[in-house]
Amino acid sequence: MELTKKSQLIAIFGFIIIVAGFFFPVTMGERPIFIWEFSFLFNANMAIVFGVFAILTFVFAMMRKTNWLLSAAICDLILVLSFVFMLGTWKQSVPSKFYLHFFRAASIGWYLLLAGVVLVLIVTLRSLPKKKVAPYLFILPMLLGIGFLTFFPAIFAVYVSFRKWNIMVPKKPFVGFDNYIKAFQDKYFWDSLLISFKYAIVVIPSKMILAYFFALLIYAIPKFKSFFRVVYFLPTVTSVIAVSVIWSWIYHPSFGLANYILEMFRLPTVDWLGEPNIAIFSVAIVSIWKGIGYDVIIFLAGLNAISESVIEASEIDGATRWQKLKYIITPLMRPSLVLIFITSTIGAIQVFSEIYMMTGGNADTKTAVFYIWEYGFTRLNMGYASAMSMIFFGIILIITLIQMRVTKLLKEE
Amino acid sequence: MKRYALLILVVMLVSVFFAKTTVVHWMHHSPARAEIVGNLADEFMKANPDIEIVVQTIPEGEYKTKLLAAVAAGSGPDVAQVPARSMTELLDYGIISEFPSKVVTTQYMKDYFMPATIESLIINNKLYGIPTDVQTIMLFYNTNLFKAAGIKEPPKDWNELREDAIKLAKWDGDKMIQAGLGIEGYHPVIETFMVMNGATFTDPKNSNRIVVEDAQVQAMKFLTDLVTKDKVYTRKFGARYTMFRQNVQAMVFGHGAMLGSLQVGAVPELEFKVAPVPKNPVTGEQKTVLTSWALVIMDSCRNKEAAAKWLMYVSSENAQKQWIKTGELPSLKSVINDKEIRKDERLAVILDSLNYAVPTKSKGWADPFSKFRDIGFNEVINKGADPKKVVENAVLEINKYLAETFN
Repeated sequence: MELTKKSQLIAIFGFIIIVAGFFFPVTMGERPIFIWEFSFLFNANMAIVFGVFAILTFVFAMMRKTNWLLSAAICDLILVLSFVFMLGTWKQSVPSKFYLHFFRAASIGWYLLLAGVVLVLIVTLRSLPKKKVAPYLFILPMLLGIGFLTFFPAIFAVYVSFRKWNIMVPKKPFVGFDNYIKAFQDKYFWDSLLISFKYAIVVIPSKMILAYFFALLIYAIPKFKSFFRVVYFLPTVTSVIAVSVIWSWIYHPSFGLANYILEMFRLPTVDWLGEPNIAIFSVAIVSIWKGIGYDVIIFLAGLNAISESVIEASEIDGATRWQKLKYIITPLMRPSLVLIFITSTIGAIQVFSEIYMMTGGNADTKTAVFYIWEYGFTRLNMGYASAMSMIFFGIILIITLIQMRVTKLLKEE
Repeated sequence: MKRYALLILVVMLVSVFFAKTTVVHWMHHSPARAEIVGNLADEFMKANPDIEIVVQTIPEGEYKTKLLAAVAAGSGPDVAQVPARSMTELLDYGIISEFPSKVVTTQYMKDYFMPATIESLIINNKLYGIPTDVQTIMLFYNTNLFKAAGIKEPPKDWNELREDAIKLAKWDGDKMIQAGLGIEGYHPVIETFMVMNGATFTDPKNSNRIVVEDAQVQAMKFLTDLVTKDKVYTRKFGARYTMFRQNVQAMVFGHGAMLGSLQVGAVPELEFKVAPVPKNPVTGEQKTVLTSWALVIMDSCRNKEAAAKWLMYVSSENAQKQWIKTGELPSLKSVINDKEIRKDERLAVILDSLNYAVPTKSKGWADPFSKFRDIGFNEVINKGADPKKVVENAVLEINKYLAETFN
């Protein structure tokens, strides 16, 4: 695929802008800093590295090789953006400890480099056949979103986990596996994992059984189907914060509805969120109540997908209601059950908001995610928090793989 | 065209010349505080038309996380309220700045402010903060319940405290119907008792370490015994402040600021007074732990003089008199000794506490001493753990944090 003459000229103009960027300071402030003062990987001079790629850009533009030019332009863009992370150099212009302060320091040189690269990139993309580019452009916003907000933080956390990383301290030394070793020896981390599992063991089966039961009821009694669907789904769409505040009042030891009901039956009152043996289960009840609606909807979708002819055939064969449920409906519902089982497990083990809002991690409710959050944002030790997150991720991954394997085995049966 | 360009240039130059200095002030939210700071900002801007104060309040639960995240992202405020115990840590991070001596000197602070309120704000003889939200631990007692139990005066020492609390606690079988002393392990209360018992926490070899002392263990034992053995309170009865407001709890420890808030939502028949935390009967020590926040100038603030001027205004005599309405204690000696203010009998007792107050030994942004509550007090109450073990455990965890943060 070749560039048109016009596009070639624009690409060359982009190259000239890039070259112009070499002669202006990249950052300004207390001292102007030029491109040759920056170092890239392995202490390579940035002017040489960028120069090589800029020349390649020019050569490919001259050769009118669109794909090659696109690759060169993407490399140029990565180089331009990498200036942001060269804090050690640009802080001589604007003293700072934070990468984002680069944009206070950035000067005409950097903007020229950026403008030139973006121009080459646009002209190259425009030269590609629309059919080839359009699909990528459509998914680009989503890719950027997921890439920047999901994959980048996840991968970056791996890097952070090998360092002593305090967000406020510029020096973030490499500590090898120290954070991981510390996590394996941290009693409180393992206690928090245990609390997470205790919570999950209560929430997952209760939520699934109840949701399946309600879905079957709605399925079996079509009257007011939509009404009940809305009723069950309402807690799910309600903000977790609002739900937590309301339930905190219900659980209030002196004035709460829960203890009022117990008192009505002359039963002893309970400190629902303060008693360590009970608090985590009190939070679990809220999560079950809130999460049931989503599961009901998924189960209903699964139930509605069952072919009526299969049900009718079983009826003709004289199957009772129980037999229909046991031998026809439930086996056909297996994909929905597996989906809910896996997503509920991941969701339950990662519980945070309800704990944060209702108990603040007190009364033996400090779950693993809460503990990690506390280490990262209160003690500012992001390195250790990331290491714990990685271990936590590994545990969830193993559980999910086991679940998938088991459910696959069930399928094969 | 040239004319227009020239005009634009002139307008830009003039606007730069007349541009106001903007000082963005962050603090955690409370309606009363927000109103007072808002009013003070208006007054200050009238007197200093070249300075604009932008007050931004953030809910307390999110405040600390948001502040550091904003600073790291370069969008932090010019001045902020930070816990005084975290000053050394923030200075190490290089995010707070010394007060310009043109506006205020260290000596001025030493001369006019109460020593306990500024101890952690002066580092290496340089001033890094102005005290705010000063609080000490006090004993609030219900006069009607005391009268009904035939107790004439608030307890003077720990023995009396225990005796009175036992006498005032009432049970109907397994159910508590009146608490003697509401206590849930709030760590400044625990620390107050430890300090009165002679605890210093100090490791002479390393300032970033604390040590386990028998005084700490005995204080922890005394406090937990009140709940586990003497049955003066149970959490099942209800939150300690709520039950005090309901006129069914005789005593509660709390900050001076509770003076106002204990009356909000209280039953009309509630009548209470304030007393110092009872003395240790053996050491005879009368102390209370002082916790406070500091108003600091961030390192990124462009006009530090304007910021310092504003912060001095916020903590001026006139301003501190207004702060008292929100429950905060003043830090200026002149306000503490103000006859008009001292007319309020209950407030006078609280103000006096500043004379024997000692700043908390807790050091660091994450408030490591809260470990005494998190893994100390609660483990004894809920799981019957040994007070000695929990103190050792808490000290171990605090030291881990101090080592991680300061080494």
